[in-house]
Amino acid sequence: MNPVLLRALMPFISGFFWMLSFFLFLRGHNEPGGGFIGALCFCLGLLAFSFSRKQPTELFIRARPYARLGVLGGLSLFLLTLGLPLLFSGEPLQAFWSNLQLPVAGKLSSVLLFDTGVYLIVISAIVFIFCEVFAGEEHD
Amino acid sequence: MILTAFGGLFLLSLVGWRPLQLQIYRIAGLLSAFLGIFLWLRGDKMGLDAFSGFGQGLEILPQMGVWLKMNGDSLSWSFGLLILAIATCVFFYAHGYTLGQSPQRRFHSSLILFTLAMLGLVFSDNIFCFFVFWELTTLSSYLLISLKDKDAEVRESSRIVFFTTLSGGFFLLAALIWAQQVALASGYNLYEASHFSSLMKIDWLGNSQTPFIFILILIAAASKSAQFPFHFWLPQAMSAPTPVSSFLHSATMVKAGIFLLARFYPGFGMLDLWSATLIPLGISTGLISALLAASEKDLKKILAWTTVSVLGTLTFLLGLGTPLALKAFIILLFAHALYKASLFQIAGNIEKSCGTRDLDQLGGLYSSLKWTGLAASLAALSAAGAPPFFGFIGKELVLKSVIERGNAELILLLILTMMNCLLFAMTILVGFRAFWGRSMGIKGKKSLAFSMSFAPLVLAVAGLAIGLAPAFFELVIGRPTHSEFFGIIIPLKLSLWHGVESTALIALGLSFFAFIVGGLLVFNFDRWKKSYRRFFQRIPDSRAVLSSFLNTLHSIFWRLSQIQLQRSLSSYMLYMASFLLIIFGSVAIKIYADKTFDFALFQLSGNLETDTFLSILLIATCLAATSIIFIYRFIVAAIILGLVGASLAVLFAWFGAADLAFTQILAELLIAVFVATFGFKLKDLPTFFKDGIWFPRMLLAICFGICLFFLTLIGPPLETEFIARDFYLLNALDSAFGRNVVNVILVDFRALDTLNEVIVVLIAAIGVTALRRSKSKSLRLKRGAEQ
Repeated sequence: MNPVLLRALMPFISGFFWMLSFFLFLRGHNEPGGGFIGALCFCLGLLAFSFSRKQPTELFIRARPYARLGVLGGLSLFLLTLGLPLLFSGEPLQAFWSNLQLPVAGKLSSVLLFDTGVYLIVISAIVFIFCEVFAGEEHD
Repeated sequence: MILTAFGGLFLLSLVGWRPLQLQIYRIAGLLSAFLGIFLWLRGDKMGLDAFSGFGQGLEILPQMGVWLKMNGDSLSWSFGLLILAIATCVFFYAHGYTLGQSPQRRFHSSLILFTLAMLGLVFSDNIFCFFVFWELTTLSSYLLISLKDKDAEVRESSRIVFFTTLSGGFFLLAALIWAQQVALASGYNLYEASHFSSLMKIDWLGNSQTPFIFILILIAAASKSAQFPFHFWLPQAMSAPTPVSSFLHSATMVKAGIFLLARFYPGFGMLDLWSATLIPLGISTGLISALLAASEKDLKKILAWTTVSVLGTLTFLLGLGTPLALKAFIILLFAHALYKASLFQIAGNIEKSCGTRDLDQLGGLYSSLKWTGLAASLAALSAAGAPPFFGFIGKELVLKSVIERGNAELILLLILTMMNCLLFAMTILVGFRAFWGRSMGIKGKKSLAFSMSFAPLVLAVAGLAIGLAPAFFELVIGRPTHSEFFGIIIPLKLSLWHGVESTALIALGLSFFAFIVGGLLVFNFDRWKKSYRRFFQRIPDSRAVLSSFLNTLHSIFWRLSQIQLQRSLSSYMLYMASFLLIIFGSVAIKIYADKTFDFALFQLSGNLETDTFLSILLIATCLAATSIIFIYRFIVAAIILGLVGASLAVLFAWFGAADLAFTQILAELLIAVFVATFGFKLKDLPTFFKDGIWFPRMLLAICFGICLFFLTLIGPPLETEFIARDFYLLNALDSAFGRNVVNVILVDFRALDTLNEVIVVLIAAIGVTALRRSKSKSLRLKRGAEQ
């Protein structure tokens, strides 16, 4: 079975999921949403995208280095939000707010950075898990 | 600033860029030279108080007394200078040593990490910082010793070293905390109680707990500085590359224990126990290791034993505690660091060039290794305590400080002289006979890099220069502003010739006696060495004892872990559930017995719509959950599990928890798509009832569930006065600028919890990776188990 139509459609669906994910992530501070939910939504999009390929597994294998980068980025964001307040004699993880107004997310703040870290790491972790499970299927 | 510089260098050394890796030692060497000069100048100009760093220090965990506070008293200052000076030479030496090999990042970064840790150790004023740096030196030294970890013998010896030094750290922590508590009890505040500079001002003599603290410190120091009965570890550490031995195991790390004792001297030095333990400890270590040094034939092991012997002498001098002895302590410390680092590097040169470290096979190397030979002669003369070298001044002072105590110490004098004879013989054998003696047929084949012969030469010449012109040493170290060691002023005025004075003459006479006997030992070495070595081989040393002890421990725990680790997920779940059941169950029973449980929680809400909806939902969920046990097709089970999740989401949505419902739905969706795509490939589940122990398992599961249920009901939030809910609702918009309270809690109020949770997610990912990959490795694991 080779559902051509479905496979052609999938990139659009996944694109929709990704946009939705980003939107959910951004608005998290004021409406239901946030980093974790956004990340789950993103992974749904990723799964959908993998259906458009002949080898769904390959996509995840190729995504692995990026996931590694994501973990690195997320952890460094955590470190930033954890350590930066210390330099200005604040508590670790204390929130800082700027006056810059962003479209959906409200004011730009260190809280948003922290949420970005959550977003990145959860996505990366799920990609790792998928990757291992699929790769395991290949080998067995 | 120094620590920051080395921290930066450490990070730099982790970078895998090849040109950088090749040059890292030069950079490190230049850096330490620069920092050494900086430290020297800084100490001169502004006095040491200005050097103390951040004033009160950087707060890390102030409620537990952890500050990052640096201290610049003269003890730290002179140790710091010593470390930086040796580090400079060692780094340049290491550059030559590793030339032509592919760079080993682990080696570089551990060596730099060690320098960082050692400097931190000598400068830290806070007791916990001190402890952390102490353990860091242990760790980095372990990494350095076990570099050639393919070799089983290296693994074994690095394990012994690690075990010994690590267990010392445990005693150190206990001692430090105890001392802190004593200080708190005698009215000091937390800041004063956790810093050496104020901690040592307490009246320790009048306190009944002092001896116990002292014993703990003594154990820590003895294990780190290889004092009897821990003296066996230093020769074991000789499997490390030469730069490591020359740096860690002669000049710096092994001195950490001595440094600890010196740190505690101002408070504890007047105890009766202090000299009553340190003098015998030091002198016995010194004698035993001097005897053992003569029984070895490996160059590096000989040097290691002589190092232990000098460490014993240093401990002994601290134990004496008179101003003269303390002066001798400092001088011997410097002299030893200079000549021993140099001698180790020479041993490394010999090995690199000739391919052997066997003392019996070496001789007449001067023709092929000219510069090394020159350095060796100078360093060996200094080590042997021959005039006019720096080592001579040190040995004279040691002897004088004993003679000064009067006739009662005759036995000490005797032992010291015996030690001197043996050490003289061994160092002359290493430094002289190998180069000037009869050739044994082995010659230096490889030519050495310039820095390899240059670095030991610099150190050895420094020893000679200080001996010839002691004023030079006074210029560098012995400034009047820096002579307040241990709370007493010790003028570091040195001279080769002390004039016609009875103590000086006796000391001189004893030295010459040692030279003569040592010389006789050297000339007749071939006659006595065989029977001597045979004699010492028969004595079981504590290394073997410890080794067998460790092996027994290992096998016991291996067997225990075999019972515990059955490599099946369900048995792990079984363990965890039964363990938690015992804890939770006992809590639940206690609460039930106390009648604090309020059964009124169980009533219906009274709203008909809510009640019917909820009861239908709950019953459906329970049914779905129960039915999973009977289903063995994976895909069907997954779908039904999804149903359970979906009904949970509905429950969340019903109570207005939009975020939770959202997350639940998305997670279920993700799993559903995942299972739908790939689930049919997975194997069917084992049927539950085929398992022989299904009934106890089921019982356990049900009990566990009930327990958890009750515990959630009576959980802490219901008992506290403070209602978290109201706080969050009130403050979310005002102080955290967010309308979605759940998200505000997640990313702002309880961000640390979120951080931990995300890390758990990461760990789960790592766990899955490990699970998948371990299948291919399980064969290797089995093989490891059989060994």
